[in-house]
Amino acid sequence: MTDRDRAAVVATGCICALGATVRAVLRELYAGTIQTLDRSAVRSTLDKAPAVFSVTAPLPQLPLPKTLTRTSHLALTAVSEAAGQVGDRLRELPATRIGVCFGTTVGGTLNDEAFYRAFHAGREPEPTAVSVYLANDVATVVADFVGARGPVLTVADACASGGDALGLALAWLRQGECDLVVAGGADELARFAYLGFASMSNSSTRRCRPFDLEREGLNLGEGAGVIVLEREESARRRGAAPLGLLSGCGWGADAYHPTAPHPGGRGLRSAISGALRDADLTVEDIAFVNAHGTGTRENDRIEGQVLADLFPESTPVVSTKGFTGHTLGAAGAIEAVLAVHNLFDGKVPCCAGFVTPDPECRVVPPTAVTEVNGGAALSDSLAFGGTNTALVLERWA
Amino acid sequence: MYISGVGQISACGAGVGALEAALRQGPPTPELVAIEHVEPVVKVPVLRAPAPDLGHAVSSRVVRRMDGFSLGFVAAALQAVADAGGCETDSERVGVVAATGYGSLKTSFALLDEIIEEGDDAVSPIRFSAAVNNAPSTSVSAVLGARGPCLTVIGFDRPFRNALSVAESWFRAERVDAVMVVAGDEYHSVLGYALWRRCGLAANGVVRPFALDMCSYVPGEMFVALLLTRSAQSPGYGWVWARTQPVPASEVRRPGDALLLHADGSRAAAALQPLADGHPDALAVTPIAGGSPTAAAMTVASAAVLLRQRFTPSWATAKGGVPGGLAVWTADAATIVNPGWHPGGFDVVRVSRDRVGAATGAAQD
Repeated sequence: MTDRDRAAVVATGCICALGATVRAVLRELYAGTIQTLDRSAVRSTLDKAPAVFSVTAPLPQLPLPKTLTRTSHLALTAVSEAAGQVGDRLRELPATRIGVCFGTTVGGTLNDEAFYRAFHAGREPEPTAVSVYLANDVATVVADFVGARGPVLTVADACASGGDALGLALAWLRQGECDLVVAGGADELARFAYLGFASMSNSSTRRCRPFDLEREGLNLGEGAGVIVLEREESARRRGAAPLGLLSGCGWGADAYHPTAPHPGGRGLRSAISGALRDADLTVEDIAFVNAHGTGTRENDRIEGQVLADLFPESTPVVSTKGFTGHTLGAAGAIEAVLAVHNLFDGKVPCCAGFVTPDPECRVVPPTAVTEVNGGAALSDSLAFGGTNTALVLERWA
Repeated sequence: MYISGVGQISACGAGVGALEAALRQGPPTPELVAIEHVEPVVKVPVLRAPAPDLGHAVSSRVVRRMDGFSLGFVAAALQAVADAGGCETDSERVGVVAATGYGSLKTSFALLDEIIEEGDDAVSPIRFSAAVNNAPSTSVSAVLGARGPCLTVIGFDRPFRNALSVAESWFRAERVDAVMVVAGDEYHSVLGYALWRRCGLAANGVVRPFALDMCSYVPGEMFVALLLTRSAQSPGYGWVWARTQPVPASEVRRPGDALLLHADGSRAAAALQPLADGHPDALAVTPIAGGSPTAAAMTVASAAVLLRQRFTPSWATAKGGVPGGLAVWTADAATIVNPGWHPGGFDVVRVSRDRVGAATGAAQD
């Protein structure tokens, strides 16, 4: 491959509040089913407790010799689904030619509150929580699970982690570091993050409403998204029938503020233009945008303005966080999974929660399932500190 | 990738000059630090870094929301820029990659302290945003005005090696002309407690890197920055490559290279025994800053300094030596080896004065 080549999407996996498989998630997504908001998944004594989207399905038992964190367990659930679609390929390739790149946020922090409360109280607890944390670097867990011995990397860029992991995986394939990459993101609901977002007054007690005039904030979620990428020529040579292609990635930093996006969205503009350039496409080639669209006042205003500036008015802009919640380190990966399937299916879901346009956002997301005809989609992620990532996905042809 | 500038804050002090002095004179002595909340008092050896001092380099408006952890990364990055004599690159072509193992332990646990002591509604939003793992990388990006790609790599085995490989992939894809690679970890009582309970500490507080059959681990705090550029800048240090694949023992060392083992006294370092046995001239500089998931960055920075200043610290050899005892460094390249994350392979980084043919089979440039 060269530095402009594309990577084939040969398998996908997903688990989130909507369902525990890609098929289940898509069924609910197109049906417009919005899960009941969960007010008990994260306990707190807050007067106005924000609502969350939790994974209520029991996670599968996995025959592993170690204790998994919930983040790792979510990751492996989605990886299992994807691996089932490419089991032969995983077995026939040398282990050193298989890479793993995963994003996480909560999964990368030592925040076991029960352990820490006992430590803080001087009860000298067994440091098992530390051992479990050290044994759950998510990319390493996934690599052990699929038997990968190529490059293995965990990226922790807050809400852009999943998208970043896919972008790095694309670079590995282009640069010949490996032939197949299991890439994605995973995160669990955690009180630490829940209380943190609540303290910033940007999470909502009601259902999130991306790009809506009355939006009040985000709802945290949990889950994992996985895409197995293979070098395109290798997939074509063996007659595979991929779902699509990952053809570009762009990054851009705001270099501005610890939490707020740059007022002009300069990092996001740079990321989007970089991704299109990387894919050798233009904005006219993009059939729809799966936006970050968290439902917070600032994110949606800045992101909407950037998208309105860059894309034709006819390009649908949809946020799926009204279905999944904001799954932090998993979000970019889950949304890439959804985008590639939406392209394949030729339709995008409604933007759940969106009712009334906000003139400041300048985008009007679809309120019903909408047909799309183009061959490419863009999925973008914005993170704390002004990290911005954009991915371009294409229909397999 | 060319190492144009080096910055560091560790137990040996702040700045590349302090690192060179420690390499010449020998490692600092660890502090004995009491583990909080443990009675009777238990003290563990720690190689602590001094508090980062930005002086007047950055306005207080910019740094006021940063915690000490992010400030450590920022201070090291600013040192690296100063060491390089500046970074005159288009801001959109400057990337930042940060590596950490544990992230901001002090801020994260301070946040949990707030929750425990004052309740769920007492969380400080500033503290929360500082506790997020990518706060250091984005802080460096903001202070340097670097608007290229900005990523954070985490992990316990190879985050620094991975950060170098990310930078390398950006150079190869021509996304950047310069990358600030920063790595760091800090100490917290929870870490000392876990090490104490798991008997994972040096019994006498001394790191003995070549005593690979025993545990002599001393946790260290450190922040290391390498300013990497596409082309060589004078005076600079040399070219650096990171292997993304594990390397078998037989292929680790190229003829003529100096060999630096990142043997940090941990039990995992026992995997380096075959290399220590087969290469009696190998060096280990881990006692200068102690151990952490990102401490390999300090070994790589040390290799860069030794390569430029051309001395070999005798205290860092398997035979040991008198602090201050120096030999002439004759190699034109150094191979830095970490224990691999699975049996049969080692993590390898190479620093070389020459660009051509310097990588050991890995992608170059």
